[in-house]
Amino acid sequence: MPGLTPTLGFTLFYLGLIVLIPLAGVFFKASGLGFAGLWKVITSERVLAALSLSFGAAAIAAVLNAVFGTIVAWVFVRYEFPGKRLFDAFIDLPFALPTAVAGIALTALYSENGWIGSVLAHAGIKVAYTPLGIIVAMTFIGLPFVVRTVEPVLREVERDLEEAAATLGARRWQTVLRVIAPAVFPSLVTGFALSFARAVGEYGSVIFIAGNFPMVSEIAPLLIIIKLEEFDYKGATAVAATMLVLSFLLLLTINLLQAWVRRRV
Amino acid sequence: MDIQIRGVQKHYGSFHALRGIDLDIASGELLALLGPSGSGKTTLLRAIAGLEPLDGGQVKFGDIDATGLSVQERKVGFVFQQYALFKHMTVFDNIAFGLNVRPKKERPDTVTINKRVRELLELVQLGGLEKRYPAQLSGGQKQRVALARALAIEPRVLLLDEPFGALDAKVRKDLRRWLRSLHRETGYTTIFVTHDQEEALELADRVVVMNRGVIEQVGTTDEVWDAPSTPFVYDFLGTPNVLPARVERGALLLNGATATLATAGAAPEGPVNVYTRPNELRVVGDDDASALTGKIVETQRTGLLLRLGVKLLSSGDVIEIELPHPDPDVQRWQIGDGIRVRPSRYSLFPRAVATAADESGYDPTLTVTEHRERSRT
Repeated sequence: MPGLTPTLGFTLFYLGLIVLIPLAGVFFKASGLGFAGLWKVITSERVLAALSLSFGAAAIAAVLNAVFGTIVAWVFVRYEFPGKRLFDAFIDLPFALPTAVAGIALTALYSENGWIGSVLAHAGIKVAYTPLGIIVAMTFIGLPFVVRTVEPVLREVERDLEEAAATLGARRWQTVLRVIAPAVFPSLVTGFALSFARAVGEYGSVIFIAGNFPMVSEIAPLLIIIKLEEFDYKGATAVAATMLVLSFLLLLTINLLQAWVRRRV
Repeated sequence: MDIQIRGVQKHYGSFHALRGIDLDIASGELLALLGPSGSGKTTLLRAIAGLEPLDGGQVKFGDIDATGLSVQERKVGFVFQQYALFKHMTVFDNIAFGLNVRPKKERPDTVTINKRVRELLELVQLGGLEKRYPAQLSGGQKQRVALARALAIEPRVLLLDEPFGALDAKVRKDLRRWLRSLHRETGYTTIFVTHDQEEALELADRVVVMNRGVIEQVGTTDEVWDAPSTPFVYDFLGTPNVLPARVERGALLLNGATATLATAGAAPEGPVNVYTRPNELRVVGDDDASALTGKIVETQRTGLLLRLGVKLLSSGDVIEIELPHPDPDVQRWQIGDGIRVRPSRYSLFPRAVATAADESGYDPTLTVTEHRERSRT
């Protein structure tokens, strides 16, 4: 293959410089604790709670985004309505907005005297300063990932296919389930993975709305900052390294799943 | 099953795609809808399938009024130009789709479905390819899978939209022949859309020539070819010469000639256009006063045919003549030679008829598909 050596060389060099070396630094620093020390940090109650909150909330947010993002993408692809371009631009706002702005806005909305928060408070639902608030923030920042990955694929699903299914006697729900869904599924997995990854790493918008009570609404990235502020560098990198490994394993699994789905298409 | 179409109307916004179509299709017939793009042929096909809701008129399958039936209820086999195969399904699952989506009560059991799919695979000569995905098939194979899939539901009628449009010339020819024999074997009432006159004339029992939302002519290959009923059909099935003339008291006088020609049947009185094909013009001697005099401005030999471009003295128009195999003993025509020609077969149409082109809403730069898309949004 002509050009393989220089391009592969460049890719590996670039990847190493930008991604792998900084990440290796995390592991190097964390390794200073030794295995037992590392284990002790990771299995401490507060760290475990933070990790499961971060990953759990991110997973829920990604699922919500997968469902509602697909619906949004469907509407944008299939229907014309006044102000479509405007709404289209709104979708991308969470991409561009400084996360702190998103956090402050959401907190103001969902706190007990905010527009939505006050209504929900009547129903006995508390959003701000609870894990629920974290999910709200993560859903907010993850939505465009699903919409923007599913939308082009949905656009590609030819009307011919739906019409063919209809002439063959398929009811509408059968067409959606058997014809459209399988075509869109791989891109939905990608959107889910991106939304999930973004939510796991999200910091700025979450810490405003989370309340950050240890063991309840304290996310792992915040715990890392706290440890850094306490000059517990090794502890901080230990949590960081754990997040890295978990994230990598999850994304790898999703990628493999996707490759498997693609091969069948 | 026979099909009756009565007064079918369809608009896309201001574009009048079907202007009151009446058509009867006999059971077991193989019918071609022929016309240029924008003529409404695909719209008519989709209207029969129920894919386009009608603005007026009626579609009947035998005794059943299908006008109000949904696409699903119509049970038509529809083959799309771009095949529209389900990419994530194997050939087998594609063909079985129409059986698998039936309500539980009507769905055949797995064994029956298996048997049926295998029969169809044999019928379309794709035995052994059932585990393939559409991406692993050639264009011709995809088309045959699409056909098998449509046949699986035992449709009332088989509808094909430009079935060979996306295939190369060689595969096209083979598939055409094969479709013809398949039709003979299965006997399904079949309607296909094409813009290729050769395809329509070769394949179909009857041809429906369409133009701008109306039917110009319906007939067998011979009828359409030998007696085109409108100038459009003449133009669409070849490149006729148009000679201005007059009809007076039943006799035809070509502009520039001094003697009249006979007119067959009822000819319109007054100014007419004489439509005659290049091969229907005869070279005659000086004594024939009904002929036109011209000068050869172009000669071109293709195989056994000699084509002459003749500039008429009377009008200065250049007409085209096709002569059979130039015999070495006969006169060799040269550019600049004088020549006298007379039409041996021709049709007359009154001159200066208003055409549908004057009506609003027709934008020749838009295809019907574009009109369809526009009206959706």
